[in-house]
Amino acid sequence: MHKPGEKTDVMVINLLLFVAGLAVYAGYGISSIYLLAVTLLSYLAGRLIPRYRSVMWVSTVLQILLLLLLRAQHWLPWQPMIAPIGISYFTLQVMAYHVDLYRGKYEPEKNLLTFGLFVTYLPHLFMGPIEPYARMRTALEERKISGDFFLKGAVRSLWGLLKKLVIAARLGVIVSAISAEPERYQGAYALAAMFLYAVQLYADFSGGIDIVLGVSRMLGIRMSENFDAPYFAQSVREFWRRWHITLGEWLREYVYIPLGGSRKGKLRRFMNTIVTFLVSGIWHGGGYLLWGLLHGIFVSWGEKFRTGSKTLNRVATFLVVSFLWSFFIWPDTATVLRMAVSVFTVFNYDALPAGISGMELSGGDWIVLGVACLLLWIYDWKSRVLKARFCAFPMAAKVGVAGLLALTVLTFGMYGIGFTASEFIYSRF
Amino acid sequence: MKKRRKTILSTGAVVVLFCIAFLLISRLLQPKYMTDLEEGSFISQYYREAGGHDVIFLGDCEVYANFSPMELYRNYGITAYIRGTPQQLVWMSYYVAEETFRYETPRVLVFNVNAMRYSEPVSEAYNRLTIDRMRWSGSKLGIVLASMTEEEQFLSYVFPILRYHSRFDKLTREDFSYFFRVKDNSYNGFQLHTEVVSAGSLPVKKALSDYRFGEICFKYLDKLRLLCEDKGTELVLVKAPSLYPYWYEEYDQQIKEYAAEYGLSFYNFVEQTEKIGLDFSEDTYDGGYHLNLSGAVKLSRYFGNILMEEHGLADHRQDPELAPVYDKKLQMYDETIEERLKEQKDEEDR
Repeated sequence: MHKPGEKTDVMVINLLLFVAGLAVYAGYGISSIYLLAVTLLSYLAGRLIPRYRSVMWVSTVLQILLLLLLRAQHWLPWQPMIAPIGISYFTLQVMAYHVDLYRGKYEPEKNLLTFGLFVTYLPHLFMGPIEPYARMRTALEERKISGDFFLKGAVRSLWGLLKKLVIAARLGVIVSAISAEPERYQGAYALAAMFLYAVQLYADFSGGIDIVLGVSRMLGIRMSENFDAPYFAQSVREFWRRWHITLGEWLREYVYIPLGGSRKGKLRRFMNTIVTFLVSGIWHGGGYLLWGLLHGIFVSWGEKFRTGSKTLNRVATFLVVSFLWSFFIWPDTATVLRMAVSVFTVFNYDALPAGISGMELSGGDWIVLGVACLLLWIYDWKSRVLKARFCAFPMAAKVGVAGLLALTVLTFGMYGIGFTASEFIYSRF
Repeated sequence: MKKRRKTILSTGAVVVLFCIAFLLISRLLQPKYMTDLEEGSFISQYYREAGGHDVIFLGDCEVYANFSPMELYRNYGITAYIRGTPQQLVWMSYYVAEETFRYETPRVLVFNVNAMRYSEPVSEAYNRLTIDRMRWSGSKLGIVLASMTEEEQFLSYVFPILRYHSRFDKLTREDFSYFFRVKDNSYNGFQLHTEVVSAGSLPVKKALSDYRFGEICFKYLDKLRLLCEDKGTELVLVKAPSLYPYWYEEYDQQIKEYAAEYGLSFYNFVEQTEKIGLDFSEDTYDGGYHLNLSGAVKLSRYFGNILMEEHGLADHRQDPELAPVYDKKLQMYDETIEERLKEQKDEEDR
């Protein structure tokens, strides 16, 4: 076990992680310069905020403007800027850090290396989780390295790889085929794409987060959970407490509550919710405003439609959320609406099984996909019990689970020539 | 202490089990090349036969389809082995030669120059047919690094499961039948084709913008030449007879100049089809691209004579060690030919 206080070791590992992060990021060209500049300027701004409080406003406004500019490119006929990889994630972290300093929550970080690692920590740079500074610092300081943690981290990473390569990659084949030809694939195909994409996105994003958390655990760093079986949510409001949890926390802490939260009457509460989800939409990209607005409406009013049946609530929530993911499937709002209408007007449901089974996935692929989705469902349903059981396993059994997962991923994963296994959907945002 | 030892032992046992499972799954998923694409297994069949060959052939399909070592032995007592593979490029031939020299030092190394026209890897599939079944050595490392296309990854050669995992639902009986065992489906590297598909219309001969062979081809041809010099083996250049792809005069000139510069023998059999007695209406199995058995018999007789007359090879037909082995091979070879011809006749009769 690494004991807290062994500062030299901590500094050395932090330095290695910082350099490794920059080295990988350097492969993205100009993005690395941007990241270095943001890190350095944010550090300096952080040091200044306690004395010159207006620096927080300058820094925050600049970062918001930059993000807005990047998002606004969606409506421009040309793209004047290249969005640095992971900008959405590290910008939110840095903004939160500056706001917290302004609020006097903690002292500015004096050590540039520690601050640099907070911004550039490689595993979470591309898709989160969005860690508040205080939590990240604690995680870095209280690093615990042991064989058991390493093994747990490895298993978590392999489980993430399984979700990504076995489930998401297969579903991606179908969803891409359907979304590529909106004129041809409507009605039943559109509906299938919505459901399949819901699972694909979850497997892809949560798989990626599992890898981030697992690798961090292997390094002795415990990071925040970002998912809690979201498709078991009984309302859209609950869904947002289970999906992309760290983004939800950030929006609550730095948008919803500063706007007044739920303290100023029903109308303000409604408006604050809508604004918060519009911000979420903008954060996801220029084309997701309507998606954010609709989520805001469902979060505000959805609770009214809850029934006494948990199953019914879950199914209804899944239907709503899946429908809203349509904005991520098709390229523009007009197509999304056309596809949504086609679900009720184009009756090609009888042709769906034959049509979908002819889309590049073999019979074996469908069986693998079915079994893997079932495993995912069982895991989400019983995750606490399964995790507790796994922790109680002897070392050999844990290694066995890791080996089994590795063999499953190696054999049934979709990777290699023709596949870009390293790309995650949420790393675009 | 006892508990710790138990943990280490049980964990070690699980790790060993994982490794075994990993190797077994990798083996199962890897193509066996026994009945389908059998050329893919030629490279590995050599290891059981390595040693004692006077002549080693290197090159692409033009060597393993056109020259028959069994005919060379039958007619001249020459012991030969073909280490040709599909689309074997010049650098591949060099590394295969380098590997061959680990096992034996032949008197003559015959290199078919058709590959000189290719300056870069052609396709991943062809790379696999040559490299997959090679044993690991510095030569395999070299051939992988020299041959990989942009889309390929080195690790997938080290761990074939990374390449072949998607075969999990395409496994056939062959994958299980030849899980551990392999069968010889060549005759000292010769691929037997008894069928006849007469030469018909061939693609139009187009003028090329540049006939020069690539620098990399000459670089590896130099390396092959120096390697042979170093080992005391005579390098002989040949161009096997075929109607297509066209062997241009400009190609031929470059090889002739190279051979003259370094004192190498070069035989262009494309120009000698009449002397050899080849008739592309009956001596080819694919319309003139490659020879069939009847063509290979004629070419092997012709070339065997050259090897004996001009390169002073020994007749091993009375060799007490080699003769029994080769006589047995010859018997099997003849039996297979008889069987194939009978099958063919039966099919025609039907």
